Amino acid sequence: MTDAFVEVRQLRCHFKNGNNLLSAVDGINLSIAPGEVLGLVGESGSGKSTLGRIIAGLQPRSAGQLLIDGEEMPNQYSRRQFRTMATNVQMVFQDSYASLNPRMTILASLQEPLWSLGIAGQAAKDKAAYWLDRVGLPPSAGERYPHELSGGQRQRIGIARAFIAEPKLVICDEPVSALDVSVQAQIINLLQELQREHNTAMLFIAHDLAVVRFLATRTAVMYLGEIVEIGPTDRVFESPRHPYTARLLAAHLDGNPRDRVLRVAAPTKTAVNRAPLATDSGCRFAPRCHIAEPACFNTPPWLQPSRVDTEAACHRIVYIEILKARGS
Amino acid sequence: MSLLDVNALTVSIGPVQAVRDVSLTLEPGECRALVGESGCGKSVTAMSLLGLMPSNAKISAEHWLFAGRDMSQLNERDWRQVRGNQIAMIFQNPMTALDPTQTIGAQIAEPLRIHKGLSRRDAKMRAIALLERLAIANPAQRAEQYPFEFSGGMLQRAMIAMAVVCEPQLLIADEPTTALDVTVQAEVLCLLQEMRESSGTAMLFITHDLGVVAEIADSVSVMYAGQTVESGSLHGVFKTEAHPYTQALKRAVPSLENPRQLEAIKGSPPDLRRPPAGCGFAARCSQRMAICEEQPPQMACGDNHLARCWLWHKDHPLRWRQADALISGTPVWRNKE
Repeated sequence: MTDAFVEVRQLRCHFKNGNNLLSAVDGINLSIAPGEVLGLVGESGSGKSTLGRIIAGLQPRSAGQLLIDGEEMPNQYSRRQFRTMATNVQMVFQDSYASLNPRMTILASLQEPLWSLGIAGQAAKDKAAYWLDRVGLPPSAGERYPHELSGGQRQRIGIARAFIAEPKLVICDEPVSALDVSVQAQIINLLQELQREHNTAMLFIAHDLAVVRFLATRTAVMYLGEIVEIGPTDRVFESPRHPYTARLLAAHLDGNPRDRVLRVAAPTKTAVNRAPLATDSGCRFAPRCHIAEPACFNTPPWLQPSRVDTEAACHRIVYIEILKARGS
Repeated sequence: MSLLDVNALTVSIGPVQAVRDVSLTLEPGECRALVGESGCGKSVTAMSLLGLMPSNAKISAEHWLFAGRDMSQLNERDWRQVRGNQIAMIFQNPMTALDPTQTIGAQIAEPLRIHKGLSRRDAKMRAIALLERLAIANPAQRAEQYPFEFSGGMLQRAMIAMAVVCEPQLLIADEPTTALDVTVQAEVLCLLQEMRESSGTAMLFITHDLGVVAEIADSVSVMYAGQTVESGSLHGVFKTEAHPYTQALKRAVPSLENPRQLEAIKGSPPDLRRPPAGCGFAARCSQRMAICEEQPPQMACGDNHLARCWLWHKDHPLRWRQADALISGTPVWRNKE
């Protein structure tokens, strides 16, 4: 794909843990087209945040390529490449309090990305004031400090700060999981509005499946450093093919008292908390999988395309298709 | 007789009127969900029910009975007999709620030694047996480990073990699954359900996740700005949300089934240092009327279903037109612009 705005090829990120080499991100290929919203789901420890941080340039990678707008980005940027990253890629973090400087006023925090791009003075001030209004805060909030705002208000600032330099890609790392449900809806709606208004590409990292379903056009499911399933959001949610995706969806509670899912989908095998090692062979989900066969423990699976536009990395995909066709 | 019967619980901490009027009843074996946003007084209610409020908090209630006992009269010494024994609590964050310097086994065994007078050895045996029931592999070995050696889901299971080890009559769970992954959450909820069924413990389940509520609760109380605004059976509340706040809350949650509707609740909750005289939700309510300036009482709106909203007053035009009877001296129902 040449028209992708971001492309990663065979991306790996290893961390040292004693004598072991943890592979937080292990051989990921991914592309995000301009204006596309890619949802990234998975449980904690699946490497979704690490992947986001690598694409944002906040985390050096161990191997693989990162292409932004067709240009390959090394781990160490030149001055010009730093500018390319700063103008093109921005990030919204989960903890809005930790991501704002407590000693800077909101207005100054908002202008900071502009200063580093060489926009200063009245022009920067006007733009910051516009964005303050755009995310629904009163002008008086500009004179305040982060601790004086509520969590929802601070996250609005985080979003304004990400969008103010009009980047082509915004990476949102769990932007609403720390917020109350009623505030969550406001923030999600705001993100969607801004994304559509500016046609920004977005990498939306979350563990809340319903939020991803609402926002994303394409969804990738990660498990222990690997993408196990990827495809158009509706397809992934309506006909999940990887056993892990099915498990995730079964564990989602949809607020309907008539169908209590837990009794039916009660996980028979408990979550094995283990770290992904670089020396792993075979499918990482196999120990938790109810249809694993010996081959699953020896040979790593690869992403296989299907008729419904989704790709899933599973050896038992044919078996699953047969089960589905039989309707069980 | 109800296991827990609290009427008009009021708690103020300094200038903040954190809980303004909360009424709760729990039957033996019942699971009641307490739903609301942060700052609505859910946790303060839970802490008060455990007698864990700081000394500067003023707590009062019209009546407050637990297993037939008047709890408002208890002193700290009596509370220590109750806590962990008859009423136990599961906290939201097991990492901070457990003691990092004690082994998991010792922490689970502690309530048994204090309340049941078991020897160190017997208590340890019981703790290990319980860990095994909670699906922790190698329980004897695990019991010798410290909290930092456990993963989040396992810590939460250890926390549950601590809470249920004395077989309390009432278990208060304060957002026990909020910090967990969905798959681990499913496991923990299953466990709680099993424990409840096997020992007949009543549970007060505090959460803001309506999905969890639908899964585990028998009845629901919705809190807003320090008051219970709606309460009833799970099916009653989920079928006909009577209070506008409950309605708004449901519309604000994204769902997997129809992902294309999301209506945020405009505005923010009132400042509980100066709570409004009338309905706490009026400022954000789309169905606001002139009468909402006055404090609405709890009104019946179905079988065992109460809502604190003037819309359910028997004299509301929608209702008296149905009843075809005009009562003189009715309040002003005109919609406010």
